[in-house]
Amino acid sequence: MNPEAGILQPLVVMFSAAFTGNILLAKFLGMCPFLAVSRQVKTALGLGWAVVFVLTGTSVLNWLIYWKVLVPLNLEFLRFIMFIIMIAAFVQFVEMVLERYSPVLYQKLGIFLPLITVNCAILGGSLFMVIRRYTLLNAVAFGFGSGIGWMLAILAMAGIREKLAEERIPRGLRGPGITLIIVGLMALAFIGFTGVLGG
Amino acid sequence: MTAASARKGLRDRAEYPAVYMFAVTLVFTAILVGLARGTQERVEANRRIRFERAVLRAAGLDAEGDVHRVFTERLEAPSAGTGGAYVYRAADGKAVYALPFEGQGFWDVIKGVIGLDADGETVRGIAFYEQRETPGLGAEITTPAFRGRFEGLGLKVGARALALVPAGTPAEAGEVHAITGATQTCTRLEKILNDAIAAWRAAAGDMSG
Amino acid sequence: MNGKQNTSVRGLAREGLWDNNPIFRQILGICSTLAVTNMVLNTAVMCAALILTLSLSSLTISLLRALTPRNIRMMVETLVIAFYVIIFDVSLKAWWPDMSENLGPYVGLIITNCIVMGRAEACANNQSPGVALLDGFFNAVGYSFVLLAIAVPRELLGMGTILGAAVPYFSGPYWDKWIIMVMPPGAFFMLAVAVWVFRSWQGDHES
Repeated sequence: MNPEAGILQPLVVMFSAAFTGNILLAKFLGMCPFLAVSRQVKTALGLGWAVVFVLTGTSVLNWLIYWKVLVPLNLEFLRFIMFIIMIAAFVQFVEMVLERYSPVLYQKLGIFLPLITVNCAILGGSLFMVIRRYTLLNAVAFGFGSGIGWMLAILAMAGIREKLAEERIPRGLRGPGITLIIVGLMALAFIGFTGVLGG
Repeated sequence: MTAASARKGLRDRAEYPAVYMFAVTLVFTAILVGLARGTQERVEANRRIRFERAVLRAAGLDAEGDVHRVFTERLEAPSAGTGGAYVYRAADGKAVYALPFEGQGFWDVIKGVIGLDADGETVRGIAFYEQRETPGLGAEITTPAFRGRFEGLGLKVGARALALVPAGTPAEAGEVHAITGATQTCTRLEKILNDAIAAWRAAAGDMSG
Repeated sequence: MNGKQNTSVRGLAREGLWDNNPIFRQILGICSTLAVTNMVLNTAVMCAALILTLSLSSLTISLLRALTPRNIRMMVETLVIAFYVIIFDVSLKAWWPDMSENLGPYVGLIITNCIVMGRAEACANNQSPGVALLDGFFNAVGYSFVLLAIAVPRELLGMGTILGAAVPYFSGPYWDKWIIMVMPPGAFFMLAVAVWVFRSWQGDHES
């Protein structure tokens, strides 16, 4: 009866999360760090990977918390608090592990991790996954795809902004103004992916 | 700061932050649990009525006000033979099947109910109870104008029972005019409906045969 | 932050609504609301949620500030903010289910709205309850009027309606609806225009 079952579905979920339903360009989530940290490709890449990692990890954790703990206990309305706590705890945990076992990676991502707790894309990812009633596998795919989509967007943005630094721009548009216009154009381009996925 | 320093002894203790956090969490959570329990019944009733209204509309019954009473009195719950559809027996004894369907729309899942005559060849009506399509475009599927296009629609046999065709072209049997500018929503809706109708026909075919 | 804050009602209003408007000046906290600006009604409800959450959480945090140990300050702040957001979410589900559907996850996302946490850290933590309440209120109102200024043209140009009611001319056959306005890129473009206008204007006044 369920036409959506099948091995392809997680892939479709992942691609649509990365492109047509891009968490930043279509859902507007994670704007603050996006505007603040998109000046250089290098830092954008670091933050991008950190987001991919945390978004995937917290999607799994929050899926388990929601469907295995909150729903059986009839406490769904506490999801906001639980999700935030899980995200903060996960970020803290990753920071500790990285610091101990991979100093190189810690140097690269460490400074971005605290920023991520308050990145709405992370909480938003968990909330969307719950509303859409994804299976665990789809939730993983969704978290990963959303992270990748966010990273692609911030990378493209940083690339463009590096070029833009030398351009002459009307005073009022400098900084956030022109960035928003570019984001708008990127959003247009990403909507163009819609047809690719067909069903 | 004299008042604060008088209580300093308590707040200097190592366990104070943990105890404080615990107390604050307890108080706030208790209030929330109370509020949620108090409104739970309402929330569930709202959700049920949304669905029930859609079922009634699809079956061609527009019950204003007392949706829940009409729903429980007039409709039979889905049983093994109805392919997952609710059954409404009209005054003339003819049965109408209200078939719930759902599937991925453009932005999110679209859920609705379609009403079909017993022969599975005519649509009685259609209604949606959950969708998050673009307001003004895809979301227009919920308007009476669009839903009205389905009433009395003759379905074709085969896997593609109906098709959404561009507005302005002549619509033949089994064809409904789509919403201009909402191509994605309409293509997906077409697929969702055809899948649901095909699955229902397969299940209900066993019953009539 | 500017070291000394003017704590009169007038001063706080000026700061929150104009001089330090959270959107124009700081481009903060747009994530949770930008998504629903294609309809004025949805925007208004989100703004109401933000005004309530920001005012009340600022007040609560300020009231608790003497008791709260500094090292767990952020956790307490998050808890207080989440508390008010959940109250709003639960009430909406119970008494306005259609709106709750429309807004989807965006009500919950107020928790991670940078403005709320930002005001808690910058003001509510070290100001008296009255000042914190007003500061939160005016910042939220400053935020709201900008979002409504984005929502009105989006709904009007994109759908020909305001608050769902058809507007003459724009809903008629002579107006070719700007579909892009109700799609996500429209929000980015409108916000860019709003920021542009404001910054040029403010720049002129300062110099």
